Amino acid sequence: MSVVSPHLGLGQGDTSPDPLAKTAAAYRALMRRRFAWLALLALVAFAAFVADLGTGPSRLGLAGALGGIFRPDSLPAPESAILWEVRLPQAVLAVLVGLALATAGAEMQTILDNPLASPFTLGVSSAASFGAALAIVLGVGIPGVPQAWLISANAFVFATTVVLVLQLVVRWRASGTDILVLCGIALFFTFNALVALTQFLASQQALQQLVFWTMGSLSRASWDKVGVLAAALLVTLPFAQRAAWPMMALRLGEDRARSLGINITRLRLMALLRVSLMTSTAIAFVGTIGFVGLAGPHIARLAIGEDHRLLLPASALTGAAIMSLASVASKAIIPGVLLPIGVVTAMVGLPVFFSLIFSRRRMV
Amino acid sequence: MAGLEIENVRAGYRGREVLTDLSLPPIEQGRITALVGPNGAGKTTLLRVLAGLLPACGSVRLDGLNLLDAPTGERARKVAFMPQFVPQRLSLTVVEAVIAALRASPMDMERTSVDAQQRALEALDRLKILDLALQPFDTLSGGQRQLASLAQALVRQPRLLLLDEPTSALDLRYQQQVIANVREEARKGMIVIMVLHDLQAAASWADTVMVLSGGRLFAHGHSRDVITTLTLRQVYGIDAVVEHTARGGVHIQVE
Repeated sequence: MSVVSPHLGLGQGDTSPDPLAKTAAAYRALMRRRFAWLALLALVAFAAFVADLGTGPSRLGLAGALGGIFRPDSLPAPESAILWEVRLPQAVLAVLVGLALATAGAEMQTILDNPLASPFTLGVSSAASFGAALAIVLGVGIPGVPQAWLISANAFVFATTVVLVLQLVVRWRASGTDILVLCGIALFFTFNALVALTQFLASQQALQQLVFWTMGSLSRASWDKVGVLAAALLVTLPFAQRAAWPMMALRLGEDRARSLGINITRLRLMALLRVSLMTSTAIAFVGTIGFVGLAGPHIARLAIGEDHRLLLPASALTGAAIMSLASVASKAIIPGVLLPIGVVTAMVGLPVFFSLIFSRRRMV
Repeated sequence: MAGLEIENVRAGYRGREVLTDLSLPPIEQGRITALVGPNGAGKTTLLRVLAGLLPACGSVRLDGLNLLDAPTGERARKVAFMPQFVPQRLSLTVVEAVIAALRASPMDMERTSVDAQQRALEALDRLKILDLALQPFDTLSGGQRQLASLAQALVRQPRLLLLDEPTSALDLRYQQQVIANVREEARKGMIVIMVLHDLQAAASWADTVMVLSGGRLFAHGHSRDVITTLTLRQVYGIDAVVEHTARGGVHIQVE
């Protein structure tokens, strides 16, 4: 038997690097690949946003829109108004809604240890729909809220209430995320039934408005709403990012996480609070838009893995890209007709999502 | 005093007390202690009390610090726990999981990521699973998961290491690997307590065997004095022939 010792060889191939250093280098390379994916996602999201700006029923095209942003006096007044009052707030709101829903979905999937968890599977959006239904059909709302914000305010209050109920469940039953998921599903069916009841009672006109609301739409976008949602994201995203390591430890198992000194009840509670603020604000402004909160984090996880430091921004960017692309599609599928964006996200997104799940190949 | 003292501990689950006034002889550092006993005897319950996962009455002192009312962070720094089961769906890579175990709690945050990464890789290297470092957890075999899980506990360099069935999924070679590592840590001053079902494994690996039965200590000492025909009959309710080998092993033939 002959044994070849690497140390006796000649040339450069003979160095046998320290396996620790080698693995550390491989890990660094993996992280670099993930950052590359993150950059790519950011690029896609940005390109989708720009395409969204340049799409619409009016003649204002991509070049005109971009020119109008950088040189506001280059556009005639009507087109300038379309750009600043319609296109831009809608496009920005689409991005923010995508960021909010996908981040919320990622956080929910982690704290519930359930890949099916999303703001929609746990009844948050059904509750928002019911709140909106009360405002649209019965005119019931919070006293003192101006008429223009009545629907949004109602949706927000109901969505937040559901999350608070789920939080109480977390507090009472410190263990067992299954119970939380079951409660969410029960709430989902309850509020759907209540929405159906209000639909049954509604007048023809109110019914039409309600159905349109539940399909989700960016057409109600305004700079005020952009501002409110941006503020909600500013107070939640930094805390979500700060919780990245404890959330990863939670993924190692509840017992392990608790033995590491993590207060998992508090961790879940804080995450649910963030989820509540993000989703209820988003849903209140654009209606129910499904799929983004579920698919955004899944696609991001396939690309980046479960390192929460990167998974959260990746989910957010994926969500933003999905929303912007869906917005483009909602304007472009039938020229001149603005399809409800919630319908588009489901129709366009689902085939993509299925192909991803079934191929289930890791990209990194 | 240095070591672990457990006195008059009562603990259990909703309406069912499992540990009924359990007191153990002092557990010294530098030794591996095996907890054995039939199902429901309270082995895992005791481990969970020590790890801070289950509230209890009584006194558990680690180097004089009462673990039962110590601040969470202080306990977590001194005690590491390896649960019996590892989550099934987890696409974190092995090294990330170990780093997460190191940086999870608020007081670990000041550790730099480079330092944590280095320590995590060293822990994997000691267990000879460095080649798994970049594998996602859910692609590992049962045994590999167990080793990666042990790495998550060892990397914290605790004073008290608690292992729940650490070798149940391992082949002989990896069992030796694990025990050699744990023994080395014990030699350097760690207190090691492991729950084992396999009496033969307990006899060959542990310096002290403690037999629990019905939430109380039935016997303790060297395996030769503890794992006997009498113990098997009284604790497990079986008749068996027990032969101790010269090298510390035991052979049990159930009749």
